[in-house]
Amino acid sequence: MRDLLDDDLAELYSVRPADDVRLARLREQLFADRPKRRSRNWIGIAAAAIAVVMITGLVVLLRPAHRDPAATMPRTPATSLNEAATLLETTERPTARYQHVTYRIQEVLSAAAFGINAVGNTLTEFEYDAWVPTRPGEMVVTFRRETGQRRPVSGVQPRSDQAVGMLSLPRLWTTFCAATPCSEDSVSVPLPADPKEKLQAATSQLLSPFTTNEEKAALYRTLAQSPEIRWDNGKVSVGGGLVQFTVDTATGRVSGVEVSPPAQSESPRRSVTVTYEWTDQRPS
Amino acid sequence: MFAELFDEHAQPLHRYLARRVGADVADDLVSETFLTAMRGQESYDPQRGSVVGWLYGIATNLLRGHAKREVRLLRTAERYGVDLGVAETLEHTVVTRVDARSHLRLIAGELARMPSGDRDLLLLVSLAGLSVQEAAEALGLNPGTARSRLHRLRTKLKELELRHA
Repeated sequence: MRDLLDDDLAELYSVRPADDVRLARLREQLFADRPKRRSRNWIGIAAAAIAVVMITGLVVLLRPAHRDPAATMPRTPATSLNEAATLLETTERPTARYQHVTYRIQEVLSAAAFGINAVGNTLTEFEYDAWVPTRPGEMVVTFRRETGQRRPVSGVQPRSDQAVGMLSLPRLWTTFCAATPCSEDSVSVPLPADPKEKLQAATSQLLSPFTTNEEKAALYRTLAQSPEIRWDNGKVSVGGGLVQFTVDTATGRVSGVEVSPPAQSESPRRSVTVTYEWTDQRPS
Repeated sequence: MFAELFDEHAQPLHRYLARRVGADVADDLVSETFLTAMRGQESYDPQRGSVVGWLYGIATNLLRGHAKREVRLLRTAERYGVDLGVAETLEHTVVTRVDARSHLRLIAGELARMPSGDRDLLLLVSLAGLSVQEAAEALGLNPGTARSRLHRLRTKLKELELRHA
């Protein structure tokens, strides 16, 4: 039974402000693995399939005689950053509850990243997934995991059971967002004037799942103002620079990034490919 | 399994640890607790105790690394008659005037001088809301021993308050 002493202890050890965002961040860091798919309910799937067939039949039977014009416009592949910006703004619209962005990352990590006190480098592959809801007030889900694909580069190599330390996981963007609406913080930071630094500084903004298409389009236009930043059939780079983006000329979306550090640098060599899909399903 | 465990226990555990050593340290301790639990999940034996006792036991072991900080805050609280949240800010502030609450000063002083195991037992039950059985599991004590030790500690503190009153 609680008494005055408990009240005094509670008063002495005062409650600090609770912070759900801190806990959500901890949860994300701790449980970076993608969950296993749930087993399928075949009866439910069969019932859903029958329902879809029946509804489709009804729609075909009852549809009006005239037909609507085609919903999609034929797209002309972008031939510059400015055209890619227009494509992003005009063709990309949410079509489902979540945008699912998958990042496949290959990065050269030192032995220290695996907790080994020795000199060595290993090419390590990761997969990150982000499900960003299109509606406000919903939880964002992200998973980060090693795929298990490793290749020795030099020196001492980690054993297969030695995982990469949590703090050494590649950071593609800097903003943490627990629930929508999300915004990428770095978007508000002005880009440097130097073209090489400008392209490099744009990396996290262009990769972040929280940067909107309008913001990415504005970023493309800012990059296009520097004549040194070249467009070569979707490859965006600057002479002597360390970063090269790949833009999908059909959609205007960033589909990859290559980061090559200068010789003798201890920075990691990184290659990222990005894919996008709209989906109504996501892991809980 | 661990995600469910986290969802169920992380918030009360964080709140308990934050009250004892501040929110920033609590962040690290919660992370470490669950990482240690995940790494050593084979060591958990449901026959030997509850999950709550197991988790708070790991957290208590980790908390021992911050015992000096807690004692320092308790001494500040004893000196000025303030709670630990205020004591934390006072560490970095020039104190001009503090409304001293003398009963808090007495308890803070006693807690600061108490062996850390006794302080853990008292606070696991009083602050974290664990049962004596769960607190005993967390601290690796015989439940009977924990019960009598807790009684002794509480009686001592109550007598102190009574004498002051």
